[in-house]
Amino acid sequence: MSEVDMAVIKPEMMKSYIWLRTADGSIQQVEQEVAMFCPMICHEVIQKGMGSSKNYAISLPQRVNPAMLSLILDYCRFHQVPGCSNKERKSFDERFIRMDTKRLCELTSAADSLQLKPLVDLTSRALARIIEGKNPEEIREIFHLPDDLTEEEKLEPLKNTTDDPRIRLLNRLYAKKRKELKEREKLKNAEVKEEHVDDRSVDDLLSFINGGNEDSKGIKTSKSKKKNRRRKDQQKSMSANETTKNHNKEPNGLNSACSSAEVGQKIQPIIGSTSTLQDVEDDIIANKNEFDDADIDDEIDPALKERIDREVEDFARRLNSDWPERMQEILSLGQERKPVHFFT
Amino acid sequence: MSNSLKLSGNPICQNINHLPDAILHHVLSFLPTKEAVATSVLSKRWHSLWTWVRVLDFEDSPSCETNEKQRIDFMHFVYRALILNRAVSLDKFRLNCDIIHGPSCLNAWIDGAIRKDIVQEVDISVSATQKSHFLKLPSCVFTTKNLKVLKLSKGILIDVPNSMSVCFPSLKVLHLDFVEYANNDSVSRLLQGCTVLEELLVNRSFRDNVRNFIISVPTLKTLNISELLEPKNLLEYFSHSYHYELTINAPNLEYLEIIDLESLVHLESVFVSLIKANISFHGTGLFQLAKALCNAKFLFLKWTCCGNSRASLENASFPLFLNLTQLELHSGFEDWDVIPHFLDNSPNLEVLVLENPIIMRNKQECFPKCLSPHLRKVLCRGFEGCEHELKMVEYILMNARALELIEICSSFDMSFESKFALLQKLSKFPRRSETCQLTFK
Repeated sequence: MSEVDMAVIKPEMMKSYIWLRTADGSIQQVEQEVAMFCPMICHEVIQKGMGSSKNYAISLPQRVNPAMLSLILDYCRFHQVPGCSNKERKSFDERFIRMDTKRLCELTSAADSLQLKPLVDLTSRALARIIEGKNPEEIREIFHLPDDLTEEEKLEPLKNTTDDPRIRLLNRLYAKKRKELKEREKLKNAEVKEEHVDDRSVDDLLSFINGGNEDSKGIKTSKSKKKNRRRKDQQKSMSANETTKNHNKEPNGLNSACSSAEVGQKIQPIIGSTSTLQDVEDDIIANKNEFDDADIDDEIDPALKERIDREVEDFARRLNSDWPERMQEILSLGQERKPVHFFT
Repeated sequence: MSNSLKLSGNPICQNINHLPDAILHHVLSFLPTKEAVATSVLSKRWHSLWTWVRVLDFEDSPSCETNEKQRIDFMHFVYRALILNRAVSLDKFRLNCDIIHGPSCLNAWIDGAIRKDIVQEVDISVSATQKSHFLKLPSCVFTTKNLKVLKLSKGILIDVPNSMSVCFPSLKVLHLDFVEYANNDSVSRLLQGCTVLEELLVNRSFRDNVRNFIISVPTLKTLNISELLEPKNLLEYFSHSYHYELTINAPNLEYLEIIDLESLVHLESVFVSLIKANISFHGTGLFQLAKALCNAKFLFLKWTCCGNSRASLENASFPLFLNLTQLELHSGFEDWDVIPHFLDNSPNLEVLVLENPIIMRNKQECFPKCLSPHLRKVLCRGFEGCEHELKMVEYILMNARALELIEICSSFDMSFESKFALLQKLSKFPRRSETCQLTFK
């Protein structure tokens, strides 16, 4: 009623106002067109009819304190004017966003609670700019983040990565690639090209596979292929024996490796493949690495693992590149939820 | 959802750690994925935040081309990020890398990302040298249901055979930046699949394999097409002239920009809602173009005309440019009598800009019959002071009722004396408009 009187007395103040109340209890009135720029306030006014008088002031979310409200209203006041060019808006935004990090966080939070998306975008971008290009120490300092990760956690990005067979496969491929690269570089650097013949006995190799031998770096490529072929056949039959042995021991391996089974199924087994000694050695190395890593491959049946490794090698050689087709399958596996089935 | 309002009694988020997860994901989405992943070592809270980010932005370093270790690291990183990303759908996927990674690898990445249902934008840019084969995209790129913006640049080959289905039901913006095309039909089929396309930007290169570039998109509102010539030598340039064509059929176009000094330009539909057109082209057929452009409010025309333009001028009738308020004409080096036609038919013209020597040989058609009563500003650049130019300026000064400013910039190679003489002549011309100012540079 007094408002109506006021309207009559001062006709030039015909602007309508919206009443807003912040969490601390203070109430203020804001020009309607400015306040309505915020979707949350707009909703309250239109859907619930609030905000028309002091008694029916719109209660703003807790995350909006008076200081933030005033900033937000400044933003709205500028942007709700239809005539501004994009350039003007941009320069306003750039000036507006210059504030210390603490206030920036407060503002982001307040804008988010009022659902003011353009301002949330602006502040988020500003926060991203602060993070960008800095090392973790600096970021922790700026934002007062606790340094509560163990060293181990820092090195291994996600806890359950190692459960994901795709990641395991990826790690294996990656390790193999890096190994190849290192060895190629070693060959380049080697002054004298000695003939390193791998003359470990079958028993040595067995114990190696079983994780007895810690030294995985001593293996070099051999130049005498004939010897290798014999060795390779030996190793193959030996590893086949190994796998059948293990297969009988761990029937449960299959169950937990269902997704790996799918992976296995997708690959066409190639009988009588001619892997080079290098490849087989790499298999062993790869397996060795897997054993080294704690608890990773307990769930994959070793038979399956051998098979996967062999198929990967084959594939790699045929395509002359290591990742692509396999990874395409793997990536697509992640998206499709196929029913679990076992190979016969 | 929000699990970060830890401090009791004080919900005000003074620290970034107090912001809800959703906002942190949003913040991380503005970072290149490499940096977003790096935040996983900040603290427990941040350990897996990056996996929910709805943007994947991969860019390899320039040294990947030569340094194999970096290449392998990058490959590993991209695969890992793709696998570990948990967002149900992505807002944006951006890939900027060298073709050295190999087509199977690149396509595996693109395939992996697109399977996640990208709802906003895909931006793929592949650097390739002249010698490498360009990347042929996987077919899943051409059937993205929700994608709104698609940008493809550089080392990509657009090959759309008859058997491939192209379906972009939500695509509004398409940028093709110096990509290569398998043939004419690839272009047409690609555009046919864009049923709601509103903005198309094409930067063509000299060897993109398309002789006849046809753009036929009824929903198109903005079109930018440019062809940057890089012929290896003049012979190649001249041998290609007139063997290329550009055809545009987009009746709802509002903004049109064509910079194509190579092809014959055909505008097949009249643009009913045209607001602004900026056309630099080579060749005859200005009248045909004029017909399509007659609804424009702002017009910028620049052309080099080679050959017999006179015939087309006489046979066709020049359309009426009712909405035209601003006209800028840059001529080539042949004669053109188009100015009088434009002036006759633009009753609402307010601003006129003429550039480069206006050599008008046909004296009879020199003068327009009428001049827009609203013409208030005229600029002439590259003025040389020859008889016809002077006559034109005299005519304008005599007839432009509302003229406020006429600015004459003489061409560079005029001596000071001749400039001064010219100025004297110009200032003596009688002016109809009292408020008219003459500026001379």
